[in-house]
Amino acid sequence: MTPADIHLEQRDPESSSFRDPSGFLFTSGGVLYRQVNQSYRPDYDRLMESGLYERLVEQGLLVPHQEVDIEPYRAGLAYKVIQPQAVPFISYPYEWCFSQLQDAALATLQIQKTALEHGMALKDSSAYNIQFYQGRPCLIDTLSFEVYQEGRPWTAYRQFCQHFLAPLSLMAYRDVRLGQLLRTNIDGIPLDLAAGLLPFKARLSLPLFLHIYLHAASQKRYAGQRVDTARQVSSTAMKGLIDSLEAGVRGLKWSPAGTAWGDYYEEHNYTQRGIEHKKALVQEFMEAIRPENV
Amino acid sequence: MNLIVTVFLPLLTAIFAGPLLKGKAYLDPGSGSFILQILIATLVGGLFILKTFWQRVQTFFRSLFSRNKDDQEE
Repeated sequence: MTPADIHLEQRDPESSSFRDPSGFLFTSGGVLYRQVNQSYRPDYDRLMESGLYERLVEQGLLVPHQEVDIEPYRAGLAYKVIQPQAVPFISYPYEWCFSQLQDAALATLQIQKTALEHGMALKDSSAYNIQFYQGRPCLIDTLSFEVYQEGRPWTAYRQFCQHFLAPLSLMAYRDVRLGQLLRTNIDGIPLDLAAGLLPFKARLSLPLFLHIYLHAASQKRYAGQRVDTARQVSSTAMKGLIDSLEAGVRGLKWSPAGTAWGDYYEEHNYTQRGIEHKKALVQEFMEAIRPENV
Repeated sequence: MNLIVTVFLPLLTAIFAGPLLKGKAYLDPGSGSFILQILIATLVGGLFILKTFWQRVQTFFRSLFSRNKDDQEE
């Protein structure tokens, strides 16, 4: 569920609730709640009882919530209603800088690794499920987990590559402004587009070669083909997959050097007196306006 | 990209994925992602085991040398 759904559901909860059968967000009396549906009951119970919830909240990787006793929005479907801690400032992946998107990617992989240790897995890895809370990336969709079935491939693998690995590699290897492609590709950058835009040297990185180039080629070759569901991915192979994605994300670097603003504070033409005056002026404005967010 | 489609994928498919495209099955638009994940899982899983083993070897030698150093200091 994306932050955009919050606004949708404020106006029309019915129209967007089909997006996730596990539950949906609604507001009551100006407070944001999430209804957990009966169909999600086994997964929700496992999240709360396995220790995964406490561990992730303790690490600041999952938004904390309280179970509340209020009337569900759609009582016939409801298992529980929870009140997530409010995130004061909502931002979107295409507004983030390179290191924010990289931190959000690493947080997603850390959440997946921790979930696997508790017998669960992320069922989606949308960048829109991550928000920056108190300066750190945090998962805001409590219903993103499912009970892990040994041998089952990671269902969120393609989404992770499209939402994180493709934009980050384009920003690092080609041009940081290509992060803006997330604006027009709301479900992440198509991998064939990323493979076409990346320079040849990106193929020399094994994680990028596997998860972008080979992945794009595989999508093209096997589109719509029949897949034998009996073939499995062992838990060691799953750990290897996550480790490989993490190495790919960590290996990407972008330095702001060379841009007009990179060394602004070293190269600006303010005198010492001028910069002190600017600081005092900004402080004066802030005190006069007293904004809620800066 | 063409090299990948014409050389690497058929090679990987021949080695690992023969049984993937047979038997009881379902149609999925994300088949390519699913197949790729299974194809590379063996490779990245193997690399992960090697990496974990290498880290254990490093930890063992580090603890061995730091113990020797402590003994000498005593």
